[in-house]
Amino acid sequence: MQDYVMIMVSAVLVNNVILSRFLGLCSFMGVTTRVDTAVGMGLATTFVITASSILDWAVQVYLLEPFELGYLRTVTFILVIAAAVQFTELTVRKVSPPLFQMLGIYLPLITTNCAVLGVALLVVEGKLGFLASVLFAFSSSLGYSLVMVIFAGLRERLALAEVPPLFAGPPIGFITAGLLALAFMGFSGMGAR
Amino acid sequence: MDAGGLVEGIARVVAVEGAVAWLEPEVTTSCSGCNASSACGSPGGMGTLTDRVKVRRFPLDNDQGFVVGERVVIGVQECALIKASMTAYAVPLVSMLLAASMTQWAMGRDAVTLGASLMGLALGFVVARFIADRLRTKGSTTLRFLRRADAATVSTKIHTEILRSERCKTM
Repeated sequence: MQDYVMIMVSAVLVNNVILSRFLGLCSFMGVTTRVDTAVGMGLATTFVITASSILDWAVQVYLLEPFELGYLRTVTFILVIAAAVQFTELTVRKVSPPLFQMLGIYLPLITTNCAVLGVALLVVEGKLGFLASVLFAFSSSLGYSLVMVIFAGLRERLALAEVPPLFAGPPIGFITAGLLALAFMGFSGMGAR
Repeated sequence: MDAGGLVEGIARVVAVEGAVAWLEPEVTTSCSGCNASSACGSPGGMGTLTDRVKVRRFPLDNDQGFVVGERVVIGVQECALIKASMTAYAVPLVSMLLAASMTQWAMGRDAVTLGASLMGLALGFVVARFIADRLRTKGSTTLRFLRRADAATVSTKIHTEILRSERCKTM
């Protein structure tokens, strides 16, 4: 049980997908201008990362390893992720049509989010059991969503702040992202235990 | 974009059928600026970006006398958007994680846990559908007409000009 908790804490805070592994930076800068869209994008990405990691784990353990097809891993995982996103889009359209009308356009962008492939590859590299892999993928995506929402909140405040013209827009965003990464480095001591 | 807990977006009137107007949301992501957007996307499934926008077409009561081609600002409650996101994504995920954890604890075999987690995911979707239907019945996730977009654009431009002139005075 303690192992699972450590895996989760480490994935959310210590080895954060965005601020420590520098994955998913495109959506980090692109979809964080408003908190509501950041929440929607974060939840959608959390779902896709977790679901695709489960499928990728199964493909790796039951298909690629037994048949020694490890060299096809990246191609296969990309295919699985694209299928998972398509499935998610169809499901959301069926389950919650208003959400699809409001946020549907963001879903295809998740396919090209390197955080999804990155977490799937990390899960396989970790050679963990099934539940540990699922929890790692879920926690990594939770860390992604957490940073997205925090950064969106900061950018909403920045939009109202007096910023020197030279730093207005993306430059002050990048500086804020750097400060946020520094703040998250404060959790790195927890990994030593 | 956000005013008083409302999430706003711009939509274009594409058809008027009596008392109902059909609208398509305008794509505001970087995709819309790309020259290849009309041909971008996978063949089959949802298709190109243009097809995706068509799929998102929705009806609105035509009590404002909309005309085809008009741009309007529509909105939905911010909390409704978050509720809908939680329902569609969080409920199936939690259900799946619970099923996986309980099966791993009871059986301890990865293959069985994998099967249980997929069943948990399916069950989560059923529950999510039920909750989404309840939200829709309440009307909390319904898109509402707020104002015509051109007026909003003009007021934003004026506001921006005022801010710029004030900033220039202070510099």
